[in-house]
Amino acid sequence: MRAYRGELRKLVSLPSVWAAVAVGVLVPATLTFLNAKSAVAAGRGGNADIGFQELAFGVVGAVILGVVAVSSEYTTEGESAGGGRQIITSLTAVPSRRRLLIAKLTAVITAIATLAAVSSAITLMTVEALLDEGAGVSGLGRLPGVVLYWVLTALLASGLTLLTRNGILPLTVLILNTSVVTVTYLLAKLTPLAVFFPDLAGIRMFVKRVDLPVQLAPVTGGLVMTAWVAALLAAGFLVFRGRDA
Amino acid sequence: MLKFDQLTKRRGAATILSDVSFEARPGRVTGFLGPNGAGKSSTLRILLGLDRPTSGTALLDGVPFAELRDPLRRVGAVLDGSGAHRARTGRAHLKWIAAAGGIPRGRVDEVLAEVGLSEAAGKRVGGYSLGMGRRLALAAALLGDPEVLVLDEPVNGLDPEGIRWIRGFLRERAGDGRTVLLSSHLMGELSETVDDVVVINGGRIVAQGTLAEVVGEHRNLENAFFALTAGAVR
Amino acid sequence: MTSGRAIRAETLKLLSLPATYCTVLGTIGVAMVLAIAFSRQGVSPVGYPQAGFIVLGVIAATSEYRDGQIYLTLIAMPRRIVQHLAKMAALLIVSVPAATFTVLVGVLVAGGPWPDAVGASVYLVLTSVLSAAVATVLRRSVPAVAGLLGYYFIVGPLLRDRVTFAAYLPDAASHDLVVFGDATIVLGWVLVAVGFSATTFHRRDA
Repeated sequence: MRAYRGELRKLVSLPSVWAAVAVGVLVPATLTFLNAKSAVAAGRGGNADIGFQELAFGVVGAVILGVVAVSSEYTTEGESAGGGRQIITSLTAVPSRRRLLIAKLTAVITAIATLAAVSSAITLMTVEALLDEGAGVSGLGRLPGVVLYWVLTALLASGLTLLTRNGILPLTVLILNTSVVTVTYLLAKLTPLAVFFPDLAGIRMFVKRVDLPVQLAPVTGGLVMTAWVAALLAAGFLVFRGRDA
Repeated sequence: MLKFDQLTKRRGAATILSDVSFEARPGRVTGFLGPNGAGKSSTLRILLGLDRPTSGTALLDGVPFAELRDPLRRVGAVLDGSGAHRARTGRAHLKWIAAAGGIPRGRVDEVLAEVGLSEAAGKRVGGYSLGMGRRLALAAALLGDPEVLVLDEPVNGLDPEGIRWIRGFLRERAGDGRTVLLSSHLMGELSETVDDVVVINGGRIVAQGTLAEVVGEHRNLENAFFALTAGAVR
Repeated sequence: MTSGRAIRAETLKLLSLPATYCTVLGTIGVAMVLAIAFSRQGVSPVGYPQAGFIVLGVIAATSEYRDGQIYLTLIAMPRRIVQHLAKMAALLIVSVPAATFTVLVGVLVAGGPWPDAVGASVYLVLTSVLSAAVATVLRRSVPAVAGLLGYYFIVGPLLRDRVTFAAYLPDAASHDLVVFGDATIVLGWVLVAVGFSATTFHRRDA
């Protein structure tokens, strides 16, 4: 429990984390605002996914937070060689690597779940305010999907960073895959199996219309994504436990 | 000759250095002594052009560091750690410094031999021990065979053999007529090595002179130091 | 301290970092794979590989700040503007061949439009310099990479669809092969960015 609180404090005191929070809130809200306005201007009503498509982009905030939570342990920028990386202090405070990792990941989950809830609320309220026909009650039912998607993506980011110890590669891979045309989406054009990639599967939890050859059910999508994340975290844990700090 | 003249540095509301004035003369080892946070590193960083003072000057033979034409041949500096990126090899690190200073490549192997790193030179700096890293930093400082050596806590991380080696080495260089300025907070070690002492506390100079003058009536340098810095505000 | 020596030193530094090779080779490899797999979908040879050049620029700039190396760099090369520009020159020395190969690979496999290949290479090189300038100001690699990639791959494309002034933003060229006019816009941004980063670097504490 103390380890968890320590990890939470670490997150709260990192400027990069707050930048990630800002991104996670502002990106979906701003996009929704712009999209809704243009829809109103064009005289169209919102489609079933308005607000939710934009929340799918906002996941980049979750990616940054997930990466930074781990990469901050290993960074040496601003220090001299052999000067302690934070991981050494962390392992001295919490010698059990299993407990440290569980505490850290739990802190990440807490932070992202909160962020996702707040961001979703703001985005959906924007939708309600701008369009008469908002997502309404059915929209609320999809909120857990959004939160779960963001949480799982952040854990994915953390897991990758555990393997690489450096934030650049996970950030590159994951941000590229959150872009307007994701790599996995392109792959889906080549083979229908690509819908089982974690992001394409997971997005089915809250986005109704996706341009994919195979349409997974929301629950199936969630399970597929969870399986990916669990496998990656297991690999990350084994590596983290096995090697020198 | 190094001359510090009324050096003052403020950062925000904090005053880090206040009217720091002293000299480090050639042919002598000058010890720069003070508790942690007293301003030793800040003073040296300003001398080396890394930080800017609010007012005052720090000159090498009358010239600010940034205006030196061949800085590596005039000054060698050993600051924190090894100063080397952990993914490079020791040799690659020294090679780029030599290139920057227009120093012939043969010097790289010479200084590596001088500090005892010839074997480890092909390995990544990330794998060096603390002592090896410090020796690499010293090798880098010696590349240009400079007449001035500035060292910030050089003994940090060295084993007893290394400490004795450095002491002899610095005395020898001073004996050759070069200027050596080293900062430390290890009094016992310092008193074996230095000729002149400058004591700084809370950003101000509280004593300067030869070792004998600063120790004065006290039994040794350590007692003198605590007497000089007693009750001062950190 | 002459600029010739500074450029030599900076090039030696960049070429003695394993990360440089990983990034360049990785980018060329990815460009090849993407070209083979997706050229029929109209994916441009510049779109994804520009991430590699962004990372290259960030690495070139932020490697100074790892392990406290910056102090040695500034002592060896105290004239900061010269050192900063020398670092950019070293980056050009590495990124020009890298960009040429990346675009060549993409265009060869796609059998695509040749005249724009030069513009595309120029765009990639300029993007790496722009990234290095941004990273110099930020001094930390993770925020620099996150911010730049987030802009080039998410914010930029989304703005382009919605806002007219987006044609004057630095990523104007990223999704189509570049016409020389777009490269000029990017050049303008690069000059502004490098001017800003050089001034900042010159004036602040190490």
